[in-house]
Amino acid sequence: MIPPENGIISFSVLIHRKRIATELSVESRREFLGKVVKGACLACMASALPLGGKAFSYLQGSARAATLSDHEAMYYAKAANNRVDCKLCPWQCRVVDGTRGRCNVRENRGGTYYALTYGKACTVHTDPIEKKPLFHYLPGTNAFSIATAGCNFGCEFCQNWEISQAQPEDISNVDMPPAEVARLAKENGARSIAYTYSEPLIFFEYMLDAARAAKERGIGSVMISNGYVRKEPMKELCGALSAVKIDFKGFTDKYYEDVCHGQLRPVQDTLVLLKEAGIWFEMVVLLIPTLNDSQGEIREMSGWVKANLGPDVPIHFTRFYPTYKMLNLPPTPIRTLEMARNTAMEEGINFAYVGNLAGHEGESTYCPSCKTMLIKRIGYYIEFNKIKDGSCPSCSCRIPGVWS
Amino acid sequence: MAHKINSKCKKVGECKKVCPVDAISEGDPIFVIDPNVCIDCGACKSVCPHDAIDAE
Repeated sequence: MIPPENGIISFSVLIHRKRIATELSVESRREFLGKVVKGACLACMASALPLGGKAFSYLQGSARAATLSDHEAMYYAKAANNRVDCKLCPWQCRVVDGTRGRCNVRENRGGTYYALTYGKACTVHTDPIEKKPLFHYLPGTNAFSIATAGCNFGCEFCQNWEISQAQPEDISNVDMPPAEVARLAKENGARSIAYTYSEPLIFFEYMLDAARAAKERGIGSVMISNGYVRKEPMKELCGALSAVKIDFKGFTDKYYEDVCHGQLRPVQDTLVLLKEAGIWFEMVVLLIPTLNDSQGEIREMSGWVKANLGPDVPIHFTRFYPTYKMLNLPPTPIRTLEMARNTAMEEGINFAYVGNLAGHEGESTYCPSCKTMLIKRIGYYIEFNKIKDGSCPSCSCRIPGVWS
Repeated sequence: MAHKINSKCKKVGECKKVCPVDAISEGDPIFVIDPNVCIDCGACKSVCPHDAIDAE
């Protein structure tokens, strides 16, 4: 396999973590701002202050124009007193003038709702598609991957919390309009664009336009998401995307609410919608010791997947490593990952994988009918791929996925 | 995305010891992370005594 890094651009995340750490907290900035307003020199002060925090959301001027977009959002309704009602995700934030939705990246200014991160990529990288992970979508190809700040969840184990939980003005970004994303993807030899790292659904407009621009150039688009979105926008996206990966956090309301600060039911609805729309999708379940790794829960989840989405949806059980707010738990034991994979297969899931466990046999794809190893993976590398015309060469069993 | 070792690296080697996927090797003049192996778990970053690893 050709290592994908050759000649491929790789921006740094450009996170000003140290700057954030040494600055005032958002709360103390708010207090400070209150005093500044009384001082009646807001405009002068604003340009000298580090930007950040909701308290600054109503500031206008060149300082914020550099980092925030003024692209009007889709999927919202205007309400009384300049309020707007966001219709993008199931939180359905009612956003009063001068504030933002829960995602931190959609802002009401004078009764018009803006997508602040439109065209503002904070992370740009080219990754193997296996890293997303998507195992049944153009294996061995590269995905040109972009992210902006923000998320509508608050998972305590988030690997990318520095960008997902940030205010868009607290991290650096580059101007990369949708057409430029598509152009760079093509220039770097990527077969697809991945909207990933943070939560792409809340940079909906940017993703949609980039996906459409990419489609015109024959490049696919894959969304790596928590699936927390309302039906109408998801249906619109399905017309532009070529594959989706949903992070299915667990299978209890309590876990979704307490650990992820989200909700399970709408994510299940999204999965069913994806199935109905006929778009290719895979699921990832990050197993965290003691929280969502019981055999009973995995059995119940696998049963639900088979009954509602069918047996051919790949499920990746991935290994947790302590990070962000969840430093008190150890990495997931290998036997837990193996138990989860075996349990899912016992329940009739045809393609269950382990992840973040380079070199394990559970990373490879096997024919569900004759058990021949079809794609051998070691980490993100592919040692061989025997799938021919979407089928197993030994028994001609059709292997679901997007293979060419 | 992958983690990356910067010029502050003093080749202590703690990162290499904790990397769960063996993505880190001793390069010249600093240690290097193979971006196609790195799983972004951040284990290396938390043990580096010289703050020489960035999330890229």
